[in-house]
Amino acid sequence: MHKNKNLPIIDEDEIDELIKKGTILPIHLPKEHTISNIIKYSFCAEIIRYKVDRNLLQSDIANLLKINKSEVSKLFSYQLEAFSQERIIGFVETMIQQGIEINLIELWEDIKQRSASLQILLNKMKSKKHSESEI
Amino acid sequence: MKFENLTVVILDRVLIFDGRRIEILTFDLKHINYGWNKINKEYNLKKRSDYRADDIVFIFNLLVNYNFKSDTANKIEVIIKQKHYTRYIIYFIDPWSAKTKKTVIDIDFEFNNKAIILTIY
Repeated sequence: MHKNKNLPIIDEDEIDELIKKGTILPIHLPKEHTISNIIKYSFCAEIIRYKVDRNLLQSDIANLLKINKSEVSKLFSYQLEAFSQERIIGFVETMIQQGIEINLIELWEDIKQRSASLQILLNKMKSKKHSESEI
Repeated sequence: MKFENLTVVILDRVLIFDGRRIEILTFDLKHINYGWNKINKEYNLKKRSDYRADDIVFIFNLLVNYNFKSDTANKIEVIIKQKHYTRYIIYFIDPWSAKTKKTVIDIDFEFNNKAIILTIY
């Protein structure tokens, strides 16, 4: 018989406690699946990549982008509803103006691919719903 | 989770999750749909969701469609019986019920191409 020896253990109450205590900052997916949100996530990921690569603190990012602690915390948990697309792109523009290297060609290419892939996914979901309602 | 109830899905394309190339998805559908009673060490009796295997694959596809790079605060390292995992918690809107749900995903250190969907609740 198989044993459960090496399977990860999951305790949902413990997970909720970790979130409550702030031990882990969960990632938030957007409420609506749109190309605009793909753009926001991709640009936000560039900000976080910079922080991680340089081993900076969130407060360093707050100073760089001239935003407050609560906003930077939202950025780092991808709670992007509070930010417009223009604002997040503006943050990356600020970074570029400060001499931080960001490969915009690669970034937009990735966004193009993700947007196309999202359309396929959403169409799949629609056709699934449609075929289910026909039965 | 029970080993004998694990579903292993080989994805039809490589999906990038926080920079890792994921090719295999593992989950216990019964655990996801019933939850786990930690006292009895058994699944709960009451069903809480009605996901099918392809729904779990769809949800994973949906979340990896967004490019994200995790900060150190977004993940924790978990060691179980000398096996290392990186654990993520992701909030998402369930596309079918429109309710906010959490999913917990572990990435195996040893098999970097495998994501384990531990739960959705």
